[in-house]
Amino acid sequence: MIQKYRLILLLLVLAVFGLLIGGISTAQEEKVLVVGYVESVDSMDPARAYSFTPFTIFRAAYQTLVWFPPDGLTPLQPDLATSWETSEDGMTYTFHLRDDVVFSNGDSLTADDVVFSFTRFKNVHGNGSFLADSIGSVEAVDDYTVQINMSAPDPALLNKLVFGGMSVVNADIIRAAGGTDAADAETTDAAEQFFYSGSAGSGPYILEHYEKDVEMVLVRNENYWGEAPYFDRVIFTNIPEASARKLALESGDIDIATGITPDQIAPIEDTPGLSVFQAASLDMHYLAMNRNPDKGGPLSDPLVEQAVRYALDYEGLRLLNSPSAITPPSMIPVGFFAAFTPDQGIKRDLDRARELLTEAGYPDGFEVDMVYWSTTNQGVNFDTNAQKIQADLAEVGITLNLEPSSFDGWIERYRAGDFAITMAIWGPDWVDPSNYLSFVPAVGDSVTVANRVSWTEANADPEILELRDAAAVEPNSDLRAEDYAGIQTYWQEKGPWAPFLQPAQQIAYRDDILGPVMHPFWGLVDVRLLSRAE
Amino acid sequence: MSIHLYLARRAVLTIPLIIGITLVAFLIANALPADPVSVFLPQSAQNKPEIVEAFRREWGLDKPLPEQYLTWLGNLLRGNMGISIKTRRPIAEDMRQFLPATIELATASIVFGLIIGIGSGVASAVWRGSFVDYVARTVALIGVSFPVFVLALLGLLIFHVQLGWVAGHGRLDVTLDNPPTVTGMLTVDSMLAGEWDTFANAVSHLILPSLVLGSYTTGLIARITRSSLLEELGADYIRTARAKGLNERVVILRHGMSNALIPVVTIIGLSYGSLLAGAVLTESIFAWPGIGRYAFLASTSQDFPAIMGVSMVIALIYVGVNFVVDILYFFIDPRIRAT
Repeated sequence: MIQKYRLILLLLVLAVFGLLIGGISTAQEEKVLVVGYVESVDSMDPARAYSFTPFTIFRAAYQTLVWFPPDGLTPLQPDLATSWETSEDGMTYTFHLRDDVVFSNGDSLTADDVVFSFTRFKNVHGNGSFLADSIGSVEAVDDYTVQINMSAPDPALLNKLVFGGMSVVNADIIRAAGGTDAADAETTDAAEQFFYSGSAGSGPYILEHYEKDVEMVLVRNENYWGEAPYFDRVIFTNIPEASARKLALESGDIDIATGITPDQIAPIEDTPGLSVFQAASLDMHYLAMNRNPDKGGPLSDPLVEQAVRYALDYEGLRLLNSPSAITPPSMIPVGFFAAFTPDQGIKRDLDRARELLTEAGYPDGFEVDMVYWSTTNQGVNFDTNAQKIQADLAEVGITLNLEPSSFDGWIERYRAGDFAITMAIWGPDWVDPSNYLSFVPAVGDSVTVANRVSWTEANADPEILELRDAAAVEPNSDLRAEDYAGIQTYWQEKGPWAPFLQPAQQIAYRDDILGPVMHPFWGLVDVRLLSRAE
Repeated sequence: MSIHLYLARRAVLTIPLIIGITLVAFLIANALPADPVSVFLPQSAQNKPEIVEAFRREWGLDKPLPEQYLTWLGNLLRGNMGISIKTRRPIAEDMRQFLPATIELATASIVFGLIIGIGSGVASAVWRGSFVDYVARTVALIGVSFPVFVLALLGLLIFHVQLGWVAGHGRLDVTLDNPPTVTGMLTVDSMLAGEWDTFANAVSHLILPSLVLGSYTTGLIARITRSSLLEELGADYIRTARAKGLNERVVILRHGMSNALIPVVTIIGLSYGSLLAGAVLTESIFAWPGIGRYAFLASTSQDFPAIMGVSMVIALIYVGVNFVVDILYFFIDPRIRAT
C-alpha cells in the first residue's frame, strides 16, 4: 500500500519538473523590448491623463505637431507639422501638416483630426487642460492646414504642443466611442474607457493590451507611414519595488529598468552586461509652506519660511541623492532660459536661521506636520529626503512630524491646500521659465500652485505682482531675463517655497539596447528610437 | 449531535457576524477625514454647486449615515459594491481581477505550509533531540522570525537570478498570454485550457512568492505540530498502543497525529485569512497583482468604496474558511460529535 503511494508521489514530482523544464524553451522570433517600470496611471485618455505612464504610451502610439530632438530639448522639430508661422500680433498660429500621415486603421490624418483633438482636450477639462488656456479656438483652413486662434499671446505655445494631451487622435474612432469636442465635453464625453483597451493614433505603435497594475503591451502599427521602429512588440511590466526591478534586469527578464535608485547605480555598473544612463533631470523638488495662518501656523510667516531655507543642508541633500544632482538656486531649473546658476543659490546658515526664528517670535522653534508622497520617483526616494529635511530642521528647533501618504492622498491635500508644509515635485509642462509663473500668485480668478499655499493677489506684495505681469508679456529677451531674475530673487528672500533638489535621473539597461534610453523631458522612454544589437 | 444540526448551528451563527462586519467596514471607511466629493469630482467640477449636489444625490451622500448604510447594504445584496476611485471601475470587477491572484498565492502558501510544516513538525517530534530536530527547528525559527521582504529578495536573487530554478516577478512571463479566464487563477485556467506550457510557467512563478508568503505559517505549523505531537506521544494511550505491539507508524500517525492535529487545524484556518489580507509586501516585491496590494493602495488613497468592498470580501473569506475549519473539527474531534 505504502509502496503504491510512493510511486504515485514520485510520478507527480517528475511530472511537475518535466512541465517546468518544458515551459522554459519557447522559440522567440519576434523582436521584443521589455521595460520594467512603476505604473502611475490617472487615465489613458490623452484629453484626461497627466502622469508618466500614459505619456510614455502616447509618445509611442500618437504624434504631436512638433517634438523635441531625439536627445535634447531645443530646437523643436517638425513632427506632424512640416512648418508653421505666427502672426505679427502673436494671436494666430498656422500649421502646415504632412499630407502622407495615416492612422493605425489606415484613415488619413487631416486638419479635422487636429481640430477635434485639441478642442476635445480643451473642453474635457482634464488635469492638463490648463495647457490649452491660451488657445481660443482651433480651425481647419483646409485638409492640411490648421489655424490656432489665441485668446492671449503666448510665446510658449510651441513648447506646449509637445505635451501628451496634444496628441492627435482619430476623430472618427473617438466620436464612435462616445467622444465629443463640444463645449460641454466635460460631462458628455464618454470615450475615456476606449483608451484603456486600445489607441487611435498615427504613431509607430498601437496599444494592444492594458492590464491594470500588470502590464501594457504595444505592438507595431503595420500602417505606420514613417520608418518602421525596430521592435515588433514593447511590453511595459509593472514592478513596484526598485530592488525587484534591479533583480529582474540582472536575470534578463527585462531590458530596461526605470526609476533606479542612486544606491543601485554602482552595483548595476559592476554587473557585466548592464549599464546605467544618468542625466540631469528637469524635476524640481521643493518644500511648499502654507501662507494661510490656519493651516501653516508659524510657517505662514515669511521670516519663518526664510529660516527654513537657511536651515536646509543643501549639499547633504544633493549627495544623499546623487553626485550628479544639482542644488537649484530657485524654482526655475538650472539650464532654463534666465535661470539662476548654482553659485547664486542660498547657502546653509544655521545662525541666520535661528535669528530669523527668534525675530518671528519662535526662539525655541515649534512642531509641525509634513504630509508628503511616499514614493520613489525617477530614482529619488522621497522618504529619505523627508527624513533628511526633518533632521536638518531639528537643528534649528523645528520639529517636523512626517506624514507619508499615497499619491492620491497627498495630491488631494496639496491641491486643496490642506497642509502646513509639504514636500512636492514639479516636472516642467513646457520648457520655458513662463511655466514657473505657477509659483507666483495667480492673476485674478485663475488658479496656480501658489493658490495651494494660499499665496494670492489678496495677500501678495505689489512688487511680485508687478514682476509677474512684466515677465508674462515682455517680448525682449534681455528685459524678460531681468524680470525673471527679479522673481527669483524675490522667491529667495520672501517666497513660500524652499527648492532643494534637481536630481540626476538614471535608468538601467542591458548593454545590447541601442539608442537614447531616456529623453531629458520627463525622463521619457521613447521606445520608437530603440533597437537591439544583433 | 448530527452533522446537519452542527452545520445549521454554525451557519446561523455566521449571520450576525456578517452583519457586524458590514457595519464595521462601513464605519471605518466613513471615519476617514476625506470628503468623497473632493476625491471623486475633478477640480473644475467642485466649484459648481449643481454638479456637487447631483453627485451627492447620486451616491446618497446627502442622506443621514444610517440610511447611507442601508443603501450600501441593499446594493451589496444585489452584488453592487460601487465604483472604485483609484481604478475607475466597479469594485466587483476589480475583485474579479485581483482576488483570484491572491487566492492562488495564499492557497499555494498554505499547501506548502502544510506539507513542509507538518512534515518537519512530525519529524522533529518523533526524532526529538536529534540532528533532524535541530535542523527542522532552526528552519521553523527562520520562517517565523525572518522579515518577508528579506526572504523575498534573497529568494529572488538566489533561486531566480543566480540558479534560474524558478521564474521571477509577476504571475506569468511577460511574453506569455493569459489563458482564457475561468477562475482567474492562472494555474487552474491554464490547466482547463490544456495550455501546459502556460501552466508550468504559472507554477514556476508561484513557487517562490508562495514559499515566502507562507514562511511564517510554515514555521508556525511546524512548531505547533511538534509540541502538540510531543504532548500526545507522552500520553498514556500511546504507551498502551505501543504495549499492544502496534507498528510505530500506526502509533504515531493514526493515534498520535489524529489528536495532535486539532490545534494545527485551528492555526490553518486563522492563517489562511491572514495570508489573504497580509500579502502586501510579498505582492509588492513579486509584482503580484493581488488583493493585499489593492487593499493597501485603496486605504492609502482614501478610496472609500474600495476599502469597504475589499474589507467585506476579506472578512467573508475569513468567515468562510473558519466555517470549513469548524466542519473539520467535527470530523477530527470526537468530543464535538459526543456533545
